[in-house]
Amino acid sequence: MATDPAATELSLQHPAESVPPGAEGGQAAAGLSPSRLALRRLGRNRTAIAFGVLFLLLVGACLAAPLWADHVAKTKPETNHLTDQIVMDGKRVDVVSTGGIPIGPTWQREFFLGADDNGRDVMVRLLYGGRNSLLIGVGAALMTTLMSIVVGLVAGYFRGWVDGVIRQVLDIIWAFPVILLGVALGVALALGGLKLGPISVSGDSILIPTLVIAFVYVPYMARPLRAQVLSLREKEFVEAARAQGAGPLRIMFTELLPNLVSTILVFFTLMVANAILLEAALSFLGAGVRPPATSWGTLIDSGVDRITSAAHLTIVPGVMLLLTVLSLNVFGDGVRDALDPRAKVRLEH
Amino acid sequence: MLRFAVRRLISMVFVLFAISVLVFLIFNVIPNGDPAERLAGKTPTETEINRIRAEWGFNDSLPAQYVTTMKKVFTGDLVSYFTRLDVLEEIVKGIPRTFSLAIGAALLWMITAVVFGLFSAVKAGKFADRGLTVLALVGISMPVFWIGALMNHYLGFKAGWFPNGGYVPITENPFDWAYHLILPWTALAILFIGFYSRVLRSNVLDTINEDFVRTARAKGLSERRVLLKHVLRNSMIPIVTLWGLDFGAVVGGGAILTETVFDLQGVGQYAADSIGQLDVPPVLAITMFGAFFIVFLNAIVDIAYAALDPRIRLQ
Amino acid sequence: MRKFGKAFAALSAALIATGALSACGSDDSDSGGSGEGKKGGSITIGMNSQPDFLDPASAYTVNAWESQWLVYTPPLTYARKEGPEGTKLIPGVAEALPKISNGGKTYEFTIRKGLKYSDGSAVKASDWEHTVKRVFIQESGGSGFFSGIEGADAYAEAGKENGDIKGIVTDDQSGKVTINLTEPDGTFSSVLATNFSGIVPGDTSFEVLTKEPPPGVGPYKYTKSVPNREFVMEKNKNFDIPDIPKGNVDTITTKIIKSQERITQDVINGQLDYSHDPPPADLLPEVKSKNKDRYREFTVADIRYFWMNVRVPPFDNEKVRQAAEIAVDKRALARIYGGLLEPTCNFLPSTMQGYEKIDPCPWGDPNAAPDIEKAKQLIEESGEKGAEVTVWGNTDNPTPKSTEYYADVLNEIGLKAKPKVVDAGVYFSTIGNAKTKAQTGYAGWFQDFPHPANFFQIVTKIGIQPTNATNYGNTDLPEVTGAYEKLKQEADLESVAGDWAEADKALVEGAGIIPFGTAKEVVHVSERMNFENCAVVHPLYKVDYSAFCLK
Repeated sequence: MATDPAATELSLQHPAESVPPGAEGGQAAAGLSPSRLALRRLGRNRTAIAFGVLFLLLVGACLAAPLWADHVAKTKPETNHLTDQIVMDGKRVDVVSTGGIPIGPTWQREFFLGADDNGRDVMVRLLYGGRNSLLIGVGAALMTTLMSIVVGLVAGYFRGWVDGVIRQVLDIIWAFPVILLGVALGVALALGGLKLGPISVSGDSILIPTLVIAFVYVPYMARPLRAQVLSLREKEFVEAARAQGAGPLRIMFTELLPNLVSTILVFFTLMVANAILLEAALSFLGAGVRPPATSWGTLIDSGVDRITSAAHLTIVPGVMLLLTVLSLNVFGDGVRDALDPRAKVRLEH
Repeated sequence: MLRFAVRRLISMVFVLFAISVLVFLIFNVIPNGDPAERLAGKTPTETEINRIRAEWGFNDSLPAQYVTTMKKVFTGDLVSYFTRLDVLEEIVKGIPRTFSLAIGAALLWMITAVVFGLFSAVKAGKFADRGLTVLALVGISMPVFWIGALMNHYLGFKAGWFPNGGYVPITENPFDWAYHLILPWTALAILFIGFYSRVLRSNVLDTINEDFVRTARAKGLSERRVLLKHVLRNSMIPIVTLWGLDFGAVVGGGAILTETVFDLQGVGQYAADSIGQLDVPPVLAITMFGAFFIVFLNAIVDIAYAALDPRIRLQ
Repeated sequence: MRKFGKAFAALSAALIATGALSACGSDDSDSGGSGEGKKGGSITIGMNSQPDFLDPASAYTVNAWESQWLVYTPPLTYARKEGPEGTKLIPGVAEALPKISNGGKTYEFTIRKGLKYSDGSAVKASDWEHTVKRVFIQESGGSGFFSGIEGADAYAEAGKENGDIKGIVTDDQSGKVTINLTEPDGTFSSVLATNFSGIVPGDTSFEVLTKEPPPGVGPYKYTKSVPNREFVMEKNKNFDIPDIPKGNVDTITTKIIKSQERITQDVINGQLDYSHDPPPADLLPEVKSKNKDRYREFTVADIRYFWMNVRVPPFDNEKVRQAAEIAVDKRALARIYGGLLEPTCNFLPSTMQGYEKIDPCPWGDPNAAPDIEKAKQLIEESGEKGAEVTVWGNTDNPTPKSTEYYADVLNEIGLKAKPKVVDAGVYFSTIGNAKTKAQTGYAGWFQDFPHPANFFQIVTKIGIQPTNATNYGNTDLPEVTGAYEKLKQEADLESVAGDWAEADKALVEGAGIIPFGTAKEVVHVSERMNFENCAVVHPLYKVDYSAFCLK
């Protein structure tokens, strides 16, 4: 699942700085800014919009987890109902049988999607777990983006030994097998937590998987950004700014950064999708979210243990994950298309 | 050219060194545990713990410990903390399985992706193209362990069409070997087919409009020949480089998930088991092995690319 | 025992050398038959984790011992029978049970004449001293059992292979072995029956020989061992000791398959003949319904419990401990175990002599709903409401689930609990380290030998250590410790069984520990195996492979 945008850095022949000349001739002449044009193109892409809406709906549902838990299911995600009974079709039924089998979806208010091994409400855990998965996904993507921007700008602008060092560090992280690095860091940090001087993060905090994932993905974004900066800095407008006496910081943030925006946007959606998938993988291997917190990955992990007698525990979280990542990918595709309909290579993973 | 290759190789060695240091630090500095106590789990006395410390060198400074451990990696002397089994031997036992999985899946995804991608490009904009695009996107949006577990359960156990996980060595029975690997290959390939077919599709669409293709058509070559001989060949170059990198990534660590789901007992599964136990020697060795693979393939790809395109060497 | 905990040696406990008749404890269901059946054939067994070692000097898990006891016969061994009969000591490679003299400090036995190892070489008396030396040199977990022998500590300290253990004197001519202990030890006969005493040739290397296990005296011998893949045992033609069955099947192959799901599915389908571990909860219903003619459950002598650390808040407060005792619903835990758990109020398992059911249970009937309101009230009274608690558990199924359940229960009654699940490989050394200050969590104990003392050591002062402790809760109730120290000296267990039961009651009433149940083990075999006659279980070694036979 790790594909290399570095290869794309070789074939990315033009930065997405503006609408390619001649493409939208008439409108360009009419003075519409590139971003407005991009938005328009996006607007016309109905599939992308539809999936974007789907994504927002899924996010909304997950954020509304407490509402469902408190008012519909009337239970918390960690509450065990092992010895409870509910009424179905007028009969009293064990939530978890004496043999340990949880009930499947009841389509009622309580245990709408059934129960898990500990008698907990699957729907409630699904929504709360989704909150964590999304938080980690978006959080990690944001962190990666920030770090990549800084790293890419600094390396690309200053070049020389600074660039050399940064490239070497990126190469090292890059070469480290993603999953192994993620699992190793996840396990090691889970035991004792993270202690960096005054800052102390508990081993159970979801900040740990977020940081791990963010760290692991930095080279994926930093390298293309760096490549772009390298070619941008030779352009005339940068020369002009330098001639006017602008310092490096100004040039980086006022001249270079705005031109990176479309690449950043494109990568960002990709990163969120990948981060969500990586979190699921880490949690599946026991190196991601720790109990009692839950995520779609941990739900699938415990679901697989029960796949014969309670398949819904595996299928439900997987489908949610699939829909979320799919909608991100389709929408992301649409954003890519809108920003640069002629980009030579689709930058996807 | 030679200088470029040499530079890349030197960089490779440095990267491997840095990775080994990183792994060592991750497991020795972060957990704040005492490995001697963990090792002494079965023999409780203080004297035993001290003896273990001396034997394994836990009393030495970190750099000294690092040097001892790395020496053991290269002399093949590395022994697991817990099972006392020889680490390299265990890795060697797992290599054929991991490679069988990776190579088979890689070939499968490559061939399928080319077919899908080409087909998609030719029927660009039509229903078939859109359909395949949707399929491709679904493929890259699924967690591989989830689809793997579902396939294993429904097609393996329930339906009985395929074996229920596990691995049969090719030396024992080649048919059984392949039979056991069909589901794992498919699960692993689904992810990549999606991505590669779309990359190929867009490359083909771009190439198809290039001058040399028009010339070929003008010369009277059949559409099929044009497609296969000229368009495909040119579109494949970036694909092949990506393929090399991804294959390295799979062997390097991506196979962990598939191996765990299908119980293939390859190197990836060994790594996953060892990490959970904080068993440093196997994790160190496997990470080095994986990283080496990734870096090696990276270097080969880069060198090949540089050989084809002189501009790259100057970077 | 090894699987869930560690044995702590150097006990001067009492164990009858002439037959531990553990009473009571109804062993459920039909017996496994006589073990007499069709000879010949080969079977395949599935095991879900590699035995720690296949070298008798170091092997200390149920996985290992189940095959080891058929390959390495010690001087004494246990009768191959089900239930209480199987806890009786009988002579193994020794001619007879040992002669004990010198106030219990000297043990003498003679090796049977004409005995041969599986490779045909003759068994000599001095081989046994070599066997014990290997235990020390390998720094085995069994070292503690032999440290009562004169000169053993000195030998272990020196660490020189060719040193001498003063307290073991052997005479190859007569075959006599004389052992002198530093103090009287009533359990030493059991030590002579442990796997660590399994005799191996005097020229066996001191290294851990998992990959090439040494020859031994037993109905089977190892012919192949590939760690993490499989090991193979074949019938040993040279074996002939009275009262020890020679085995029916010719070849037994054990495959290591990490997924228990797969193993059970393969036994259902007939691709494997026996599963070493019970079916996963997921498949239990299917196995119970479809395979009931080749499936049975039996109780073993183990106890699953939650410990509470009395040295650390909030469990230093008696009311908090009492509240926890009341609130834990053992029926819920039985469901987590897929029904393979017998809820209990006692600490001692029901199959052990010294067990008397505590009725009524001071904390509520284990098979009825708990009085949560009372528990909540106790927490209020204790003043520890809202106290933060970390609940420890390991990754062995189903412990993560029971840990989460227990944390949820503590939250329900007013504490602020969070589960912390740690890998099984490092779990016990983590909670057994006083520095961790672990507050409460899961543990389990399986008998090393059938004697209450073996259980009580983990709830008295003996089990309290700065590292590698076994008394995770640091429980030290004066009544219990006092009873333990007095009773372990007594050689005749039957006469003091009632006193042990009193100690059990005192422990439970004192809220020293929350025992929640005894796990049930399972025999599940394939279609081609003869289930009526040849599926014999044993109180110590689970299932007797030598009884296996095909239809």
